[in-house]
Amino acid sequence: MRLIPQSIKWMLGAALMLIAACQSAPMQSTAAPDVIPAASVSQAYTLGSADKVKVTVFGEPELSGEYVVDGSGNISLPLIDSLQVEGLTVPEFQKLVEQTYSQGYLREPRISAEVLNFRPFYILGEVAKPGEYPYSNGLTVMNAVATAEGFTYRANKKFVMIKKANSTEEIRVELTPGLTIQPGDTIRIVERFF
Amino acid sequence: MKFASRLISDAFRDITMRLPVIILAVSATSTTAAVAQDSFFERNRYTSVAERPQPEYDPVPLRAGAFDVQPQLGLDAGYRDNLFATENNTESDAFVQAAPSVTAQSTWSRHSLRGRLDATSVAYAENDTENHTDVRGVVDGRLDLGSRTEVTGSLAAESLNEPRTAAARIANAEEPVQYDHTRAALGAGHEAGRIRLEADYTYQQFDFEDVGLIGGGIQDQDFRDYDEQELSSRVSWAVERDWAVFLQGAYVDRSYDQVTPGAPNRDATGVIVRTGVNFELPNLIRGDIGLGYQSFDFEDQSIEDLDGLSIDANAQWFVTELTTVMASAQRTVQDSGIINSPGTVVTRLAAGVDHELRRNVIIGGELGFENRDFEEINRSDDLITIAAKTQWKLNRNLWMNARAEYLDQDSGAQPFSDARALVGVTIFP
Repeated sequence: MRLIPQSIKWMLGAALMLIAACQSAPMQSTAAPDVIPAASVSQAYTLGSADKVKVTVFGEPELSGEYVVDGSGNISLPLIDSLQVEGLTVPEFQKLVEQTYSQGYLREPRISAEVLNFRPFYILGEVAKPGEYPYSNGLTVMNAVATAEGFTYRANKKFVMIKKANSTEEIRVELTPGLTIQPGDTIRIVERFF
Repeated sequence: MKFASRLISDAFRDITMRLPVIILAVSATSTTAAVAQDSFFERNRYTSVAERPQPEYDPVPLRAGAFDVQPQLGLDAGYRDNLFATENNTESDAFVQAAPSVTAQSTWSRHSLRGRLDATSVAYAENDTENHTDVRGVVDGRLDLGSRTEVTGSLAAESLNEPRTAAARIANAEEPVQYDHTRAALGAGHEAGRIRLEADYTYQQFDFEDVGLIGGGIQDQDFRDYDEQELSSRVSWAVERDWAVFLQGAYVDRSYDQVTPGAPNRDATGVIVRTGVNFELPNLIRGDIGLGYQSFDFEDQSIEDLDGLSIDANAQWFVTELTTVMASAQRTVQDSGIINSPGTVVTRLAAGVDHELRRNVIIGGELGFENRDFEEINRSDDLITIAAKTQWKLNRNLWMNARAEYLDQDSGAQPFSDARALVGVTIFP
């Protein structure tokens, strides 16, 4: 986190305005920039610890980059203090960054963000390859089982045990084709006896 | 291809529960390893509960050069409530049983050689005259002449004790009758496209020891000694990859060492012809069913021929991956062991189920019916057997077994019922 005195911020802002007046191609255009599409980001996905986010600030390559949400749900970006982003959707995060940069650092910042590395999910029990796998948007339990190379011959296909990331207990859930999971979930496929 | 049939044996010394799955798997594949992957006669689509390997719990054989060697020791304690298989005044007793064995199996990519030596020693708490030890040794091999032709050979020698439930049992014998059984077999098989040809020659010799009688005297058993030769062949045609039809024929020659004056000459020759189907269908069923006709002609022309239906069938139904149901049926002509009966028609029906409750826990049940219809004497025995069993594999070195069995024989000559229980462990190095 970088702390810049208020006077310096004003001077930078004035300098930027001067440069902008001299350039034929303004640094901060009022036209909508080419936003990098976020191919796999869901409106419903919320940021959490260990998420890796790519932030692109239009016209500011020094401010653009890939950043990781830390264990306390904060993300550190150049020029601004650590931001609390836990639980924010990607659009909400984009808006927060824009608001923060516009407070004395940038004029009409244009921010695009995409999650590069979702928090993984965990699957264990009666699957061929239990382990940790990357999450993707809209993942269902059946998708997760397929990722783990399928059920074993002893798997119970009627219900599964799921432990949410922020929970300490498993819940038993009927296994349906549309049952979705969230990043950080731990799925346990139980054994059947008959 | 023959599948192991879980017939309930009079010999409570059922060591098949002790065999590591790896040994069963090796035995099952040893007769088919010569066949190429695109064979019309390969039957390995399904895996039964008993066949399924469990690497976490199956013993790891010792490597000795090009052989995998698997020693094991079975230790059991049991109880029987009718030791002498009598109708009245039954005698119950507890016993302990030790069953060491060692099996060596070659690991060559072509050909196969397997040797096994095992013994079962039983000691009773009160009736020590019934104590006995059975010893068995077998060597069998397969020579692969190309990918579709094989020659097989087998040599076996056993020193056994006849159970008191046997039809030929002697009520006042002071101990079980001992006998030696030797067997030599030679076979060949060849596949050509959809056709498979098989031929086998088997020679067996049975030699019974005289037995002492309670109160004095010796009961001669030499009249029971006999040799048997069987020459059989089978031609199969694979209609589809899933099933094949076959025609099977066998010639049997049974010759007794001696003819007792006043008793019939039990020497016989027999012809067996069967046709049937061998299959492994997509609907989870695998089997080999043969039906036909058998005719045994006795040297003594005064003895009526034994002829009639011949059956040799077995099937497995893979209900689920955790449950396998087995069924088998046989109808054959065998030695009766009784001096006045030249032979006996034996009809066996058996059904069983194995269920894999956990990867290391198998439970099962068996139901059997056996009818022995004796030639020339007015005797017909019906034996029903019901059994429940479980096997708990603790780890690769220690398994636990338990079995409960009930036998009930309806017979004009030897009716009895016998309840048995057995618990024990099998130890692997």
